[in-house]
Amino acid sequence: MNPSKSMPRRAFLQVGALASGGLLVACSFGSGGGSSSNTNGGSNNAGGNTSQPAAPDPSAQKFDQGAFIRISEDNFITVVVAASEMGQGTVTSMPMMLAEELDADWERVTWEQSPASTFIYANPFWLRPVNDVLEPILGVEIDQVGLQVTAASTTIRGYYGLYRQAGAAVRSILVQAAADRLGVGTDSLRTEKSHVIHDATGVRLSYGELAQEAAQISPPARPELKDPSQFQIIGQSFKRVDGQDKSQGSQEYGMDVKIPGMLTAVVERAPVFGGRVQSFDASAALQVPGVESVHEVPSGIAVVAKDYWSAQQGRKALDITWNTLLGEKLNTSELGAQFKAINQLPGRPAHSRGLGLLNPVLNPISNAETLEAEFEYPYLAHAPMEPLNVVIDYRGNEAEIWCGTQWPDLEVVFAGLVLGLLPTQITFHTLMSGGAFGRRANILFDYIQEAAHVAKAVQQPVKIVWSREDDIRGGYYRPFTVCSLKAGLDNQGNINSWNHRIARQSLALAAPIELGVSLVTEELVASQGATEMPYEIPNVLVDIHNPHNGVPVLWMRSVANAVNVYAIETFMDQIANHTGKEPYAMRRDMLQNNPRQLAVLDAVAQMCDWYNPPAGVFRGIATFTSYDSHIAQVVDLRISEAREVELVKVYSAVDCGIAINPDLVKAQTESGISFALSSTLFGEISLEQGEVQQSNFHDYLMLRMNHCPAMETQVLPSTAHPGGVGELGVPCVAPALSNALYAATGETFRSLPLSKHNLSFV
Amino acid sequence: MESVKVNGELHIVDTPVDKPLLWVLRDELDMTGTKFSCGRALCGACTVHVDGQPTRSCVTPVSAVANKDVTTIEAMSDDSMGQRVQAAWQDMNVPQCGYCQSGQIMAAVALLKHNASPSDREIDEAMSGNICRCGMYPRIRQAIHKVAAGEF
Repeated sequence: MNPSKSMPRRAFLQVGALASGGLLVACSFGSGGGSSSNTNGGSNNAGGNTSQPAAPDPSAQKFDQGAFIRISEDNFITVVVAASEMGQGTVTSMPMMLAEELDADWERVTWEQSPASTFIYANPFWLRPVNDVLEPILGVEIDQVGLQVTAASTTIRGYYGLYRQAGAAVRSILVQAAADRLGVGTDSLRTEKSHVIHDATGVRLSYGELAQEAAQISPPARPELKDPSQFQIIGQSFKRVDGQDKSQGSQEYGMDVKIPGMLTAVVERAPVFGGRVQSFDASAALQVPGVESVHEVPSGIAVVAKDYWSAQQGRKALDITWNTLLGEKLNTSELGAQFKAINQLPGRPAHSRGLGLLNPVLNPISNAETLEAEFEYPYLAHAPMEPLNVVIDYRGNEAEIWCGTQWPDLEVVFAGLVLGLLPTQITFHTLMSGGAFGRRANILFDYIQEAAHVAKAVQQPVKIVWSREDDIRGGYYRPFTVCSLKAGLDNQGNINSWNHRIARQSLALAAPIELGVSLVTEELVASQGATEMPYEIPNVLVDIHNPHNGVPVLWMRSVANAVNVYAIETFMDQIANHTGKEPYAMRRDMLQNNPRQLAVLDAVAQMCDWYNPPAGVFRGIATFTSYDSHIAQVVDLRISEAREVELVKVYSAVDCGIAINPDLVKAQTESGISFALSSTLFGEISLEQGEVQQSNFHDYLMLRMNHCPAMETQVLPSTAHPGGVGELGVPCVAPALSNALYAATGETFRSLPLSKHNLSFV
Repeated sequence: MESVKVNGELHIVDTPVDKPLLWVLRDELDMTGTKFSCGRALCGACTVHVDGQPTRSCVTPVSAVANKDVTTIEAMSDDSMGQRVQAAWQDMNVPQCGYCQSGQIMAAVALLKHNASPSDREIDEAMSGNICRCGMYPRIRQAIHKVAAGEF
């Protein structure tokens, strides 16, 4: 990807549109920074006495719908956050990007979640490649069209240009307003901590007192942006702005929403995917105290009660006959052999270098030797700590919805399809998510549609709640995958050809759609991580099979990178061992023309003093690139005669370009390590005769404090365009750990989780 | 009718005796700081103190806490140890999604009230019942050590 494309080519329509509406900066007269101009109105009277509240202006409502920034008269700045907060630090880092160019006083910056809107708040990252194709054809510039989806580590790299331009544009008109008021040139003014300062006279004007005058000035289309060397906010490890609420129990999640007259519903779903209700008897359920009604919805039977507990008691009393004739009957124990057999055949080419389809691994010509390895990965559930939930108040010709989601603009569309409402008839509140990891960005919008069906049946405000068991058994898993790798070696033991073949159920429902998606971004498809394999190998072919079955699958944090990087990086160590090379040195040799990748590899080796591990410690290394970022990680462990593994420490070196908030980059990296360890050590969803065998945290195990290693993370300085970090810490952990075990035992671990290999963790 | 004393205040609630304390707190008393996640005492998100002991409210029938003192996350801002732990959590950017943190903090406060200077092993024992899917365990551990060291 060309980082320069991440900058919107045309500046920030919203500021212009707001100015044309007469108000650039909404003022919350006398009520502090956090309040909305909806209630207090605003004024577009140029030069008016700002101490006098103006009459509410209808344009203020219109303004708010498209707002990115509000500046109150008492100089508080509210930044509207377009992306969803699910733990990554969005509500801290996005305001930081805007505040930087605005020269805002960070102590007086607050945030607010944006409404759901594709056209105003979409992440420009998403349809950029499409725009590049369409614009020359249509002859017009397309901006701000994309998706309002928080996924694929795109928030910072997608919104970076937009939020900085917004801040810079507003700063520029505030300076102009000050120049006009003081009768001086703008070049005699500077800005600092939400003030415009005229050094010659010592006059300091707050942004708040300039806001009304600034509202009359058209913002520049292409405001000048700072050179990164001038940054004062970007690059600071400010504390999370949601840290206080999240440590006091006062952060509101979807699960906590309560509106007048609200009932709670739970849904009993089919025991196998694709099963349907044949008949049911709700009479016993309706006798349970608190149960109000029972409804059949497409996914099963909904029990509606005055509270969750009553609804669950009612659910247990349901008598349902399921029709499972067309349901899934899969046994996951058979899937590995099936996928390996499929991988005997050439797949759909996804990527090639050098000789591509004529790859010598597939058509041996000049190889001295060919090595092969196959890797198998189970289904995995996301299991965010906050189970899925949706609150819907459906009132016939309109609806209001509260939901923690990664994809608000399309949740609205899909809820509307079920409710028979246009998106404009739905008011949508995006709440913070208690974890998401991809589950709250479902391409089929399963939970919002189901909730809408329930709401339509209930005709009363209702909260639909999933239990943990519903979540673990609910599908939309990371797909079961087999990777089959071949490496051709020349006479010196160098890899001269490479085939990475993937059998993985398509996330995009069908292979042709996945092919289409791959034209937009590599980051959603099965070949992700294989395509981006960083090593210099002359001939590479990545090919894909998308076998289908009835188990719903979905992206999960780091998506296909996790499986493909494990295959690549453990195979590398096995090749190194076979050819008598040292794993770190062999990687270095193949990264000589890849300076950023080499830099993180060297950095992590230096951090851990690679060649001198502590006594009794075995270590493994792995590296990869994705999301416009680079990482290398080392896992240190001890292992006993009884195969008890103690994870000692994980080292990470990260190059994510400009780090907006370095401590939050570290936190995301650490989070990725823990997430990866849950999957690597324990994670497996298995099916027998189509039934999911796991149900809760006793049989779908998570990493806990006692298994968690120490972590040391270094964020390398960079002036490159920011890359993503939300998923970056995940993929290298498993191969680095596996490589450490390989170094200790000589065993290769070609299927996950590791707990299946007679290993225990202490 | 069941009586339940939460954060020093007595409440009379019209609820089945077997209804878990978690749902009485959340649905009857509108105290939503205590979180639902697993419903089976497997994750610790619902941790409260009952007579000072960390307790999984999702499996504790409301009848079991009659005549006992229930303390929730809502009371921690007025508790000296609670304030210190919360200050450490905020300063060290411990929360990510934050959903488990009410339970983590209740477990950490109970630990530190009973053990002013816990070892790593004691932290493991006290905290391993609490899952953090965002995996902030190293920061939780460090925050507990810093509170114990008087840094907060």
